[in-house]
Parts: sequence; structure tokens; C-alpha cells
Amino acid sequence: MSSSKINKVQISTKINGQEYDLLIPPYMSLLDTLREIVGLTGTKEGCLDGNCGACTVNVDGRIVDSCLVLGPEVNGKDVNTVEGMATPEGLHPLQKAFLEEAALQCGICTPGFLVSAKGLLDNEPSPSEDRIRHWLAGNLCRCTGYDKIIKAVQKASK
Amino acid sequence: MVATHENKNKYKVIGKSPIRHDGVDKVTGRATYGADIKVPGLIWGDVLRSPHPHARILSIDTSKAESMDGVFAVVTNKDFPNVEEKEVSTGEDVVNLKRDQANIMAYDKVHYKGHVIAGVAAIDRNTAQEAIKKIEVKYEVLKHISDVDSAMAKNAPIILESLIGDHLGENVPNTNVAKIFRHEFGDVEQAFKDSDCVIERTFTMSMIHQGYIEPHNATAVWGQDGKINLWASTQGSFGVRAQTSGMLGIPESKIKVNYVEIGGGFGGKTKVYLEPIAALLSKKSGGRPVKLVMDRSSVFEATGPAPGGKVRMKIGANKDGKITAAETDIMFESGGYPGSAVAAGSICVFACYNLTNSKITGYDILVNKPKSAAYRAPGSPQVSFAIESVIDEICEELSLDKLQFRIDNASKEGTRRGDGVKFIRIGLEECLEAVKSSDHWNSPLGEAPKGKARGRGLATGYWMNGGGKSTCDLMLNDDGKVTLNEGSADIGGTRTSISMQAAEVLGIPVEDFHPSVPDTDSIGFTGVTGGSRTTYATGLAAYNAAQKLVEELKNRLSTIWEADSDQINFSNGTFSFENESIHIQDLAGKLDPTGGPATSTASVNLDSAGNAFGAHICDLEVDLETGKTDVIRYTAVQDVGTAVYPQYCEGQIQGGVVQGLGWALNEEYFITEDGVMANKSYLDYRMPTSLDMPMIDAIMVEVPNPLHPFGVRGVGEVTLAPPLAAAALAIKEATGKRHFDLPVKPGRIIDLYKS
Amino acid sequence: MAIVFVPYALRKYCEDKNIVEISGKTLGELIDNLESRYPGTKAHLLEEGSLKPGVAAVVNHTTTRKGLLEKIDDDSEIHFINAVSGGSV
Repeated sequence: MSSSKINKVQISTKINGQEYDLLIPPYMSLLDTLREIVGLTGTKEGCLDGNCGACTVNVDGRIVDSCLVLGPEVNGKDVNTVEGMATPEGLHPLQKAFLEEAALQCGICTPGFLVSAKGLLDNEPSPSEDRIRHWLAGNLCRCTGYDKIIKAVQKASK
Repeated sequence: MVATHENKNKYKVIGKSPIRHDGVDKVTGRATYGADIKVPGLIWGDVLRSPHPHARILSIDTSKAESMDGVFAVVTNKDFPNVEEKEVSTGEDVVNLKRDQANIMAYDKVHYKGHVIAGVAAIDRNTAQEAIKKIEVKYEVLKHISDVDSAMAKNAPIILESLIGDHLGENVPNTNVAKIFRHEFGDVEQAFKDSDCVIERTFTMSMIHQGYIEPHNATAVWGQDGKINLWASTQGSFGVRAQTSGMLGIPESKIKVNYVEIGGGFGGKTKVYLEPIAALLSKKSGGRPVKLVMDRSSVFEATGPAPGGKVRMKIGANKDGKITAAETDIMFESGGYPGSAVAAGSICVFACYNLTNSKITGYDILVNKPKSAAYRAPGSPQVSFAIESVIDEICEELSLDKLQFRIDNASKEGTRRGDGVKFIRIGLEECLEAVKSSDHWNSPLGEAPKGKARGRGLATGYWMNGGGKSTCDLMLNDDGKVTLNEGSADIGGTRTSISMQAAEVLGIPVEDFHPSVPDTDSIGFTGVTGGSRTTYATGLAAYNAAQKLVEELKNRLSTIWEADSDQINFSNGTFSFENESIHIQDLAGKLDPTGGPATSTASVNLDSAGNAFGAHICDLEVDLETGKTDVIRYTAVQDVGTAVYPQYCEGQIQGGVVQGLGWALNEEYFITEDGVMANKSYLDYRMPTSLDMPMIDAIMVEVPNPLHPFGVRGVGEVTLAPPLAAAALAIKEATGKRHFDLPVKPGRIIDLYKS
Repeated sequence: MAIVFVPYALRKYCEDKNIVEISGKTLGELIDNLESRYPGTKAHLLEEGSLKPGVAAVVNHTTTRKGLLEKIDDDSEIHFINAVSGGSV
């Protein structure tokens, strides 16, 4: 049956620091909740089975594949996406570093990488190259070969 | 790193790496990709796909889906108009519209698992997915074919019954071999007889996917005025317009393709899969906007992967280090319909070697797999793997230095390719010399830890590069900034590399340019972003438009200065005549009395002879117990003509290398006995991750292309050709065993090593 | 006279030669002259007055975009190859 007939679930969540009250189908993923209900399309759909990391968001300080998280699961939680990284003062150091190091070609994986990398640097400000590569292994990039992405994260971590 | 052969200091803008103009949008999540499009009243579509790799469709019953709550429309191939089954030119490509139409929605047979049979539009994505399940199809399952040998076997089931094969000029019905062609020069038979060493090997490779992270998507509105608005993830909006027009029988002038960013293509997003279906669903839904987003497993099973197949390679050489003859049979899987990259592969295969005796036979072979499309230097990676492997073996057999052999036999200006065409100025020799003097080549391999072994592989590769049609419009604003419109989808910073070329001419900083990619109604025809043509051809259009703008401004100044325009000089952004001078950005604010806004436009249709060469070095470590490989060092040397935008040029090279290493070491379509792809997810179609790769060094050699004012050659594709052999040959050195089958995965490494 | 490299499949119309000499001021004229001298070749190269879809003409070293209008000199070299468009097959 169409989703209009299914009883929806009410959730209260904070997204990029802003409170939202939402009514969503219980089966809707956090990814679809962000993209279709809230209207934040910066988080991308790549595979829908948790293998590419394009949908990476930060939930209560933990980076997750939002395609594998149900929308109702973030009730009462703090969600941070790529749209929340820049401030009125300017771009996040990671965003600046990605631009300066040309760490993107098509850019579809970039939001996922930025959120993932921020999740690392928030807790470990000076990771080694190996640690960065390990942390980012859940984010696939098909364009850059990773070289400049790693260099950008290193630049932002100094 | 750039090793330049020409004086780059003369350029003010070319050769720098400014922040790309669309960069801030792309790092903040603001950039709009196809799936991000929101149109008021949007509804969702989905498609029904065949579970069988080869079957006749006996009946399709859509009634239950049509009557489902929340469903607006159902389409089948009956909703498509009849088109002729013949090849037509779409302005930049050659297509067989009937076959392409059948490929995106089958009418009598399905040719591969995942072949689309029907489409549904519904109130939301979930409802569309549920409705699809209600469509009932009766199939007559047929025997399927999964490899080229089975396709060519006697009594093989025929996949495309209407196909008349062209076998060396003869028409042959009832065949799965769509085409056999040949290029032959000199006398290979005699040359082999006279050679000191002849080696012949047969190589196999699997179908491979481009792996772009963004799945295909399309949104369509079929308005009540008969006009169609499309948004699609594509490498070429004009290609989408042409193909949609052809398949739906609607004039191109009634179709507008709106630009959205694209999340990777590599050649795989040059054909349409969803756009005509979205349009028909919109029409049948009364003009509602319909969006379709492909799921990842369908991207693997049912779009346009690179062909697998077989390459037989025979090379002759003499003790003095000269290659004498080369012969090859290239058998590629075209998939469910004809048209693999075998023609391109046949042009590339011997391109790196100066040969007078050569024989190439190419086969385009149908199998029950998705119809193959382009993947970054299509055909070249497969054939490069074969020839570079045999060349390495010849060098070992004759105790010749493998780098020196390539230098001694390198193609140069005047050498003929395997199809007979002569090269103009090319940079292969310069690449090989750069390898010779590189730090990597002169560094020791290093000691492998206990239980592991190391090896170093060297391989070269070629891609011809494209030309074609592009348009660029310029508008000089009052404040001295320049609005630049060009029609090339921006997959890797081309808004900027194109703007840089206009900036170089105009003497205006590239930061003062506002480039955009308009819809197909708002910019002149521009060919696909592919074929390593964009910075070259659209850049040249920008260059020409800039030159025209300068002429226009001279005309304007001639009224202010009372001089003839041909007496006015222009250099470094400044116009001058006798004692007068003015900078272009100052003149911009003074144009009203001279005739108002200053604009220019230029279109090109370029002959193509960019010719890109690459030579790669791969150091690899093998675990002799598990077969796991680690790439420990990699250097890609490539002739880029002129690196207009070095950081992005380097990024293209690095990206292609890593795709190539994935192809070499792990990626494949694992086809079961049932003829279906078992590993149709990113988990099991194992592409390289950041943990699998080292830093990739790129040495950009610059031998300017004589056909472009800035020497631009085109860089995006050739980088995928050498890595397959470079990695396999490194494994050979490490393990002592040569591999002829791709991927050289851990199981194969151990089996061969221990045998 | 310009030099025409005969595609393999057309050699049977050209007395098995792989190179023939043909004159013509344009590619179109050259193909007409090729047909006069070696009947049967034109049908494989042209369709409805233009180069067949899928056939590209290389004059000297570049794939020409001007089709049958491309100017030919006495020292021109002409190849007919499968059209390989940018980024695609």
C-alpha cells in the first residue's frame, strides 16, 4: 500500500544544531529522512547497503552510514551532516583543505568523506597517514585514487 | 609534479591551480546532483527487470500494478514508437535506435539479467517498488551464453535474431558475432619466421564496471504543451537530448535537458537508460514530474560495463632488441547488443611500438550480459595488458632491458598505428625518458619482510583522444568580470580549466570568471564530457570566443580612440594605441556609448589527434601465504601536452591508476552457472579503498599538442591503460609466475605460485 | 594522386591491394573516383550521400569533421576507420 496509508512515527531530533519535529514512515531511512523530508540533499545515496559511505553522517558523535539507520532511531539524538560543517565565519578547515588540495573530482563522495574525516579529527587531531587511510576505508572514491583526499586530511590536521 | 619540456613561464594563468569555481558548492553539500532535484508535484518511478539472462517474453500483464492505490502510470515497450533498426548519427555518436530502445526496455526478448521490461510511476518510491512486484511476466527461458567461446560455438543460441553479422565484409546471419574486422600491414608470417624470438599468449579478462559512486538517475516532466524537461546524471546533456529524441520520436527542439552535476561517469554515463522511461511515465501520468534513481545492483547488472573477453597476442623480436612483428586477435563481449570497444582496442593495441608488420583481427561478440559501454580509454586497458605482458616476456627471453626495449621501439612522429594512421608529434619517447630518469625507477625495490616478495612492473599505454563539437559564450560585465557559459558537464574541474584558457587570452584573472553549464536550450551544441576532449575542445572554443571578444572590444575602442581597430594593440589584458592605453576590466565599465554589452560566442568541431601516451611503474608486495597484494609505490608518467590545471590533471591520472589497480587485482563480474552476476554490490565487487593504495606519483611530461594553441592534449583516459600490466608484471617479478587471466587475485596468485 | 589505405574488407574490390592511388580535390570526389576505378567500394563507405554512420575518414593524421567536403592534396593520405567517438566506442 502507498505510504500515505501507513501510520507515521513522530520523532524529535536535532539536525546541524537545529530542532526538528518530523512525521515519517517507520521504514524510512535516516538518509531518506534527511534528503526527502528535511530537504538536506548534501548527504548522498550511493549504494543503500552500507558499502560506499556516500551517506555518512554523524549521530551523537559517531559516524554512521545513514542508509543503514532508520529515521526513528535518531529520535532524541544529535545528527550532523555536511551542511553543518561550515559556520558563519567560514568553511571548516577540512572543507578548505579539500579545495586547496583538489581532493575532489566529481564531488559525489565528498560530503561523506568530509563528515567521516571530521569524525576522526574531532577525536584525534593529528592522525598518521595509516590511521587516516584506515578510518576512511569505509568511504569509496572512484575519481581521485585517494591521494589528494589523504593529503587534504593531513593538511587540516596539522 | 610537472616535468616540462616547453617554457611554461610565458603563461600567466595556464599551469596554475586556482580553487575550482564550483568547489565551495561541492564541499558544502549545496551542489545539485540529479537525485537532488526537487520539482513540485514530483512522483517516483521504478522499473521491472528480468530475472533471467536470456528469455523470450511471452506476455506482460500490468493490470494489477495499474489498479494499485497510489500508482499513476505503467509503461512497457508498447509505449515506445517504432523506429528503424539501422545505424544513425546523433551528432556525435553512432547509434542503432531500435536496439538502444530495446536495451532500455525489452519488447520480445530479454538479453541479460536485469534487462528492463516495464516501468511504473507512483506516489512515492516505496509504492513504486511495491507496484513493480505486481507486474506479471511469462517467460520462455532460453539457454544463456556467458563467454565469448560459448557465443562462437556451433549451435550456440542466437541472442539477437535480427542480427546480420559483418564478418570481414561478408554478411552472415544467425550469429552472435556482430563484427569481424582486420587491419593488416606488411607480412607478419614471414617476419615471425625471420625472428629470433616469437612468443604467443592468450589472455582473458572479465567484464568490469566503471564503479561511479552516483547511480544513474533521471527526472522528467512531459508538459501539456508537448515539451519535455529532463534532469539526468549524464556526461553529455546533448547526448541525452539526442537519444531521448530518437527513442521517443520527438524532435530535439521539444526536449530541454537541464544541467545537474554528475557523480562520476568514466564513459558509463554516455548512454541513456532511464530518461525516455521517465518521460513516458510523466506523459502517462498527466504531466507529473517523475524521478527514477537506479539501485546499485542494477547499476552493476544492467548499465554499460567494459567488455571482458580474450586477447591472443603474438610478438616477434630479434636479439638486437628490435620488434619485428605483432599479431593479435581481440575478442570482446559486447553484451546483449552489438557495439563493444573492440574497434578502439584495435587502434590502441600496437600504438606504442614502431611496427611495419602487424595484423589485428577484432571480434565484437554478443553474450547474455549487459550491453557494454565506454570505460575510460575503452578497449585500451584490455589490449595493453596483453601486449605489455608479452613484451615483458620477450625481454626476459632475450635478456633485454625492458625499458630500453620500449625506448628503442617507441612510436614517434611518422610511426603508423596498427590501423595505418600516421602519428604527428607525440610524447611517448619523452615519457620513457622520464621513467628512466625518475626517482622511482632508480630506487631499489627494497627488502620484502619475511614471507613476502616484491616485484616491479613497467607498462605503457595509449589512447587516441577525441575532438568534436563544443561551444562557449562570453559576456563581459560592467564590473570587468566575465560570465562564461559552456556546454561541458563538469566532472573534474573543467569549468575552471576552460575558464583558464579564456582568462589567458583576455588577461583577466580566472577568479573573475563566472563559469556555468547551461541547459541545452541556452548553449550551443557541446559534445559529451569524455574522450579526453573537454579541456581540449571546449577550451579551444573558449579560446576562440576570447579572441573574438578582443576583436569586438577593439572595434568598440576604435570609436573612442579614433583609430582603426587593426591599429590597436592588445597584450596582457591591456589595449593600447599611441599614447592611449586601458585595461580590459576598466574598459568594461565604459562600453555603453560604444554599443552596449560586449559578448562573443564560438563553436568548434575539432578533428581529433590528441594522442596520449603513458608509462607506469608499479612496485608491489605479495604475501606468499595468502596471495594478498599491497601496492607499495606507483609512478605514472604521462604526456599531458600542457597541464592547464595541474592539480586536477594530476588528480585524473591518479584516479585512473587506482581504477586500473582495482581492475588488475580484484575487480570482476563473477558470473554463476545461471548466468547472473553473483557479486553485484560494492561489498563483493571489490574496488580499491583508501587503505589499499599508496600515494600515487604522477609525472606530467609536456609535449605540446600541435593542434591546440596552448598545446592541450587531453589527459583523462590513457591513465587506465598501463596499470593492469604494470601490476601483473610486478607480481610476476615477485612470484616468478606470469599471469594471463585478470584479475590477478589472491587465489590465483597462490595457485600459480605453488604449482 | 592521393594515397588511399584500403580497409581490409574492401581489398577484394581493389585487386587485393592495401594501398591505391586515387585523385580528387575533395574527399567526395575522391570516393567517386575510387568507385569508378574499383567498383563496389563506394557502397561500403557512403550512405545517403555522406559517410556511413560508423565510418570515419582520416586525412593525413586527423579524423576529419568536414566529411566529404574535406580538401585533398596530391600528397594526402586517406584512411577509412571505424568511427570511435570521444569517450565512447
